[in-house]
Amino acid sequence: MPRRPRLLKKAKEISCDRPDPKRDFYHVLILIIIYLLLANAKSLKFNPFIPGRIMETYMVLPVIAGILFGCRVGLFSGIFGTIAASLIPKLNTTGLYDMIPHGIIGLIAGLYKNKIPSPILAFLIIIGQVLKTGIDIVLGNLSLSVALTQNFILGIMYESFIGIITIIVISSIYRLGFEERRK
Amino acid sequence: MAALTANVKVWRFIAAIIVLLTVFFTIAFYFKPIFITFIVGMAMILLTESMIRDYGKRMDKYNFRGWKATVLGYSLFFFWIFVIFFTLGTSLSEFKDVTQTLSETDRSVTQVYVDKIDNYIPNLLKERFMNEENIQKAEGTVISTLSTIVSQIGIFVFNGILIIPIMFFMYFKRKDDIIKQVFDIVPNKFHEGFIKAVNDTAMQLHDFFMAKITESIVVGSICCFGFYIIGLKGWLVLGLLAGALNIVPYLGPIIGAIPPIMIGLLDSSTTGLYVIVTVVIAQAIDNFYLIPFMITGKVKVDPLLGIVLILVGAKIYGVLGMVLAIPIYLIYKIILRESYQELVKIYTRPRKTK
Repeated sequence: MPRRPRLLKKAKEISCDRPDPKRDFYHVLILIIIYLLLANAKSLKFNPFIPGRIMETYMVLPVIAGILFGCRVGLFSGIFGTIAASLIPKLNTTGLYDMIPHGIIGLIAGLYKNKIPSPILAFLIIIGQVLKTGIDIVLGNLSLSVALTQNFILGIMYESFIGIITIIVISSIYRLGFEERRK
Repeated sequence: MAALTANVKVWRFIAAIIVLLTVFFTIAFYFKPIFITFIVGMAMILLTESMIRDYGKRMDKYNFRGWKATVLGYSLFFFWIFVIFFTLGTSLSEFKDVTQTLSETDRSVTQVYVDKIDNYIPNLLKERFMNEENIQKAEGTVISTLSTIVSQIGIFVFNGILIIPIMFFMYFKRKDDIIKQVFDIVPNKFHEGFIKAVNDTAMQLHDFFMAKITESIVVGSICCFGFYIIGLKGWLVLGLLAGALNIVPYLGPIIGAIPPIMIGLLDSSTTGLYVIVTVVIAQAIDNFYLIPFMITGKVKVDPLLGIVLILVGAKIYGVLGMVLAIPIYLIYKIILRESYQELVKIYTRPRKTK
């Protein structure tokens, strides 16, 4: 019984910022455009550990959105951005079901943005990669035996490593350039 | 505004201060590589100090104290060192690819211009300005300027490795001792004015350099992202170059845009066009958002005066003069203003009658 109030108190502390629909709409729109630009990016690199797999670049976007703009933007940019990117037939590096891990990590990043420093939140990308791999296994796109091989795990860790660096660098640059004036 | 004093002694001292400052800067510009290294070192120190202050505020906001904040701080420090070396290493290897591409191609930019762009240029412009001869001269000038910059980078890096770590040590470990030693030299009656001059100068220069560094980083990042999307070879090094050259007022964005446009045109005219669009977007964000909000409010220089200073700086000292025109003006302005006020106080004090 004494645990409940503490849990409720913690749950109340972790919450979304006050909604600002106009601002959030524009942020989500810009992020969807960035998703589409990345879907058309020509400077793609293949994962050196997983043959034939193009490096997953989108997953950084919902985490950055959550860290900088809050949980609503993180969630909706993850969902709608993934839907928009999956409609691009050219590359098809992402499926419609990817909106689940993207939305989840965007939401979590936004919920904890005022409680946990952003370099630590960047590690959410590992959770995103694990969720995405799990969904691929459930849908039959990937077999469990392949997912448990050393090369595959190294490949996922490599992508996560690049993603963590990207998130920390981009969120720092954004705060330096665009949040400075609000101080 | 109060009328200026007619006391001759005050104006003699002001003239002497102007001469001393001019001699100081003339000597500094004579030893250009060391002076530039010193300026880069100071800019890096300012950036580091801002990052440390910002880090402290954020750790207070997150309620991260003690060992947690220390561990995270050191992790971030090594992270940024790794990112800088990783970026430099990747940039150098991409730079080699880019120069190899340029040397392997059997067409020059002038030939690409004649083949792909010339047909779209109105005849009036072609006859007066954009004829093949002028484009060839421009190509030669840009390549030689970039070659000069690249060849001097080695000297600056060598000076930087020697001087900048010592500057960091002196600033962060012995700043208070140095300030105390300087104050011991200054006569007591000038202490108040000296402190005010030093604080004002430090604040103004800090705001100016922070704004310029931030502007360069943001423009460079937008260019890197745009060039990455386009698939431009050497996107990282070209984006960083465009950002770094943005420090030079007015000319810098143009010089920074030329190498990626040249390399884009060598690939295809569509790529060249996309590069131009990327550069225009980056400069639009810089001029309509960053400069009004970041520089104009903080650095108190009239825009027209700023343009005149930059042109004078360009005439006297070239590119370095353009970059340092406004900071040098700020130093002159603050030192002369504070000196004048102190001298007026001293020399127009009513004499005590017996």
